[in-house]
This record gives sequence, C-alpha cells and structure tokens, in this order.
Amino acid sequence: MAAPATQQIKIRCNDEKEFTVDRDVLERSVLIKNMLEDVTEQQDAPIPLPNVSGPVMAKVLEYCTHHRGEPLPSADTEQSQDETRKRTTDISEWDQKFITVDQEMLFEIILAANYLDIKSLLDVGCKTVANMIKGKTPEEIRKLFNIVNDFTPEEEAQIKKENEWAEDR
Amino acid sequence: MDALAPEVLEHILSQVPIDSSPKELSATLSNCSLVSHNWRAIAQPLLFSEFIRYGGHYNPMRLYRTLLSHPRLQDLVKCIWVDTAVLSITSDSDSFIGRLQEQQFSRSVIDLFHQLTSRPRPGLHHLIVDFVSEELEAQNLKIVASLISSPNLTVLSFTNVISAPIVILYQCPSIRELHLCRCSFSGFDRDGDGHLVRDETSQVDWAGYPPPSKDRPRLSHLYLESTDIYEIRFIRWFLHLDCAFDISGLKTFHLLDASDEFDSYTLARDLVQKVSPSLEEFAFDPPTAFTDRDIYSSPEYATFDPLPELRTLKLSLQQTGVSTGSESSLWTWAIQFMSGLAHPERLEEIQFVCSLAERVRDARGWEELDLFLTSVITDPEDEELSGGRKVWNLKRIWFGIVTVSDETTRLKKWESIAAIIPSLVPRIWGLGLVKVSLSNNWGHVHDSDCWYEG
Repeated sequence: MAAPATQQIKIRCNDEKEFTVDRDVLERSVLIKNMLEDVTEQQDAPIPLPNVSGPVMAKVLEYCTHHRGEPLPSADTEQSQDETRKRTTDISEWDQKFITVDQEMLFEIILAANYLDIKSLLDVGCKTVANMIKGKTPEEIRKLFNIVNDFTPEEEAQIKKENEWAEDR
Repeated sequence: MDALAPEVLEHILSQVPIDSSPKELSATLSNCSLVSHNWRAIAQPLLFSEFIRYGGHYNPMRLYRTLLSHPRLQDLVKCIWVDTAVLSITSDSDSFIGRLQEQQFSRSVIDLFHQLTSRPRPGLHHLIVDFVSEELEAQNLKIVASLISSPNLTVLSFTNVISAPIVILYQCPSIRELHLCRCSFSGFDRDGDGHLVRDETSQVDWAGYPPPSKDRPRLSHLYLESTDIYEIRFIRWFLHLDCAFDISGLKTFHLLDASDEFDSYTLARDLVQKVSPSLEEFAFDPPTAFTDRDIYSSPEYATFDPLPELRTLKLSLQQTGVSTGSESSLWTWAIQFMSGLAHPERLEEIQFVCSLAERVRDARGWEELDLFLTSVITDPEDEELSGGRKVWNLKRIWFGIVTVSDETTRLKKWESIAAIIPSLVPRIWGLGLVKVSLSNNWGHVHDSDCWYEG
C-alpha cells in the first residue's frame, strides 16, 4: 500500500523565488509551523518570507530536509539552566560540511534561522561563529567581522580595568 | 556583523567554547567586550555572570575588589558558586592545591567574598553550594542563608549539605529548579514519614529566619540524588503540604542513587502520581533488588497512572542484573553484552521497565527513552522475552558511542546490540527516540550510530 502523499507547501522569498516543499520539512521552522497551524483551509497562495532570499532559503531547506523527522526541541522555555548555559563545540559531521560556506552566507543563514525560528540551525551557525571568535584579540575580531571601534580611549581603558581580573592570574 | 540582533549576538557569545580552559573563555569574553559598544553590552554581562562560578581560574582578589567598587558590575553576577573546597584555606600548605589556595584564597580574599555575599543579590539567578565538611558548612552557612533569599534566584543546587536547618529551604521565594545531592537537613522528623518536627509550619522554630510566605514557590525541575534511608524520609517531605515547595506542576523529576530498596519504589510512585499530569521527564534508578520480596510483581508496581505529558523516560539499570566487583568486570560484562554473548541473570528489572512503560503507554509522542544498561545482561534467544511481541513502532533509535578502537568494531557492536534490543524492550512502543548507553559514555551521536529508523 502506498504511503499517504505528503502535503506540499509553497513559499515565496524576498527575491520572488518560490519553493514547493513537503510540509514536514518546512515545519522544522517554528515560524512556518505556527503559520500553517493558523490556516484552517488549504491555501494555494505561497507563504511570503520577506526576510529571506532565495539562495539562503535553498540552504535552509537543504538543512531542514536532512534533519526532517528528528524531534524538535521542546517549546518549553523554562529549560534547565544547566542546559541553556551548556557550552559545547559539538557539531555533527554533516552539519560541519553544510555550514562550511563563505562568511556572508554564514551570517545570512544565522539571520534566517533566527527569523524562521529553527533553533538547531541557529545553534550550528552560532557555534561556528563562536569558534571563529575564540582566542582572537578585539582588533582581530573587528577585522574579521568588519566592525568599527566606537570606544573612546578613556572608555577602552575603563573596560580593561574592569576586566583586569580575568587577564591577570 | 555589528548590526546583528542583540539576542543573536548573545547566542553566539554564549556558545564560545570553554574547551579545557575556562581561562580562555574569560579572555575571549573580555576581548569581545572591547570590540564595540554593542558587543560590550552583551559580552561583559556574560563575562561576569559566568566566571564567578569557575572559582580558582581567575584572580579572585582583583575580581572581588572590582565588584565591590562597581555596584553596576555586581548586578551582572548571575551565578555564585559557594564551593568550600576552593574557599577554604587548607592546612596542607605543602600540596599543590594547598599552595594554590593559599595564594589565591588568602583570608583577605575570603573576607572580600563574604562582603560580596552578605546580602541577597537581585541579579542572582543560580546558586551552587558544595560543602566538603561539616565544619566548613557551619562556617559558610551564613553566606548561603543570605544569598538564598535573593528575590530572583531560580536555580538552587546543594551538594553535601548535611546539617543545615530545613527552614533554610523556606527562604527562597522564586526557586523553579532544585538540585539536592547527598543532602540532609535538620528540623524534621526523620523517624516519621516526612513531616516537619512540628505539624504546623507556623509552630516551627525558625531560629531567626523569617517565616515563609503563604505562596510556596512552584518547582518545575526537581533533581534528588544519592539519598540514603534517612533521606528517603526527607524526600517524602516533598509530598506534604508543609513542604517549602509546591511540586504539583513539576515537569522534570529525577530520583537517582537512592539506596533504599522497597521504599524508594513506593516513594517514586507516590511522587510521580502527585505530579503525573505535568511530568515531562522522569529519571529513576531502580535500586538493587537484593530482597526476598517479589517487588517486581508487587501491586506497588502496577499503580503507575498514565503520564500524559511524559516525553522522556530515563531508567538506569547499571546496578542491577549482575554482581559486579570492579570496573574491569563491569567492562567485561558490557563487552559481553555488546557481543550478544551474555546470558540473563535478572530479567525482572527488564520486566520492570516494560511494566512501567506499559503503564505510561498512553503518552503519545514520546521523544526519548534512555536506558543505561551498563551491566544488564540478557539473552536474545530467550523465548520468554522474544516470543509473541508487538512489532515496534519506533521512529528512531540512537546508540551512544562506546570507546572502541575502530569504526568496523563499533558498527559490529551496534549490530549485536540491535539484535538484542527488540527483545529487551518489546512492549515499549510509540516512542520517538530511544537512546542506549552502554558505559555512561554518550559522546557524540552521528548518523552512523543510528541503527534503526522506521
């Protein structure tokens, strides 16, 4: 007996690029899942995603397709503090390969994961950036991410003084 | 990058790995706070909130002086670790630890710490207390008594607190998560069933502590570990209305390493029954059943009500199944288990698992079942276990990685385990995820470890 057909959902990105995707894949996004649950009748019109471009959505869908069927993180926001503070570099082999992209795309993926509310993808992106930051000086971090130093020399000296305990052991 | 939403930047910085060196984390967060105003607003609170808990990995004199001279920074401290192993000045000044402590935690440093912790702190969310001796407990209990009433303290973790008055637990108005490990408290009737010494809390000798408010803090997560027969009666206190906490909305309940035999089963049942409508995660060590009573077929077992919200069940069977005398024999048994060569010694424990699972089977959409099976031995050929069972309806089974020499060996072992598992938990069905750990070594879980996907 053939398996029941999966419902197909259409989405439209901010560059008008459209995708037709299995519902369970799209439901990795809590934002889209909630949207779909709010719609009682089947709609043919694509779901607009004004904050995501086509190329970025393609990557996001690649991730969601690979992880389809896995349990979603609990919606309970009162997670154990130990869990929320847990720092880990764990990124699976597949996820590591997936996230090996140029820096611009990496940040686009993080922003899209945040907007679409895909926690596991947000974690993968953020862990990758966190690994890039580790051990770098303030100047190296600014250079890496193209950030302007907006501190006055006095402010910088004050912060250094406040943080002295962490440097001097 | 500087235009990232603050919550995303916070998520990134909270993922900076500790690795083996908390020093590196502090240095990284310190550097991040010097990048720009936006980054400072996120990184500096993390630096101060996190680091206070990793005692010994920073210059405490400088930190405490900085905090005392900058009240704004004091408010950033979210977690304080009162670890008397670190705070104490050891008399053994010849040892490395002794010299380190002498250097880092001189009397003046401890005085500064006491100044910082002498009153409730509005910013404090998490208090970790670990007392290494009764003497140090007596010396430092005052700190705990001050900090515990911090208005926003939501997580309290006590380890080795063995002589504090029970009234101390009535002083924390906002606790949502409570961890008690190897703890016992004075002030309630140890020979009774968990009531306080006096029946009415209004009559309790509060010994200088303010009486509790009528609104008891409602716990979401309760972790009780390593209790002995006396503390079983303390645990029973949680069932009473005069308990400091309301556990009726509990979502997580762990009862681990309770050494009592029969009582802890009935206690676990009573506690679970009390919180059954809300319970999402239940972890329990069935204690070693060296008893003449047939507790597995007892009606006590048969009274687990359905747990409609249960998503995660963790049962540790490490202490059951075989008599293990040493680490090496444990490992030997584990190897035998993995190879599918071992034979059943006590199948009752497995039946208990099945019985419990049967009782809670109405829970749909379970996400996780962890079985710690270090020394549990069973036989895949055993007819009693394998005959006439339901077909599984599991979506996925994960196996934690066991340290093995090469990939081929590991995969072969997974195959062996896979042959055993269906007969091991034949009646647990409707689960979303099953994890099996064979030596408490979870490690990473990769796709290659996923044996079954249906």
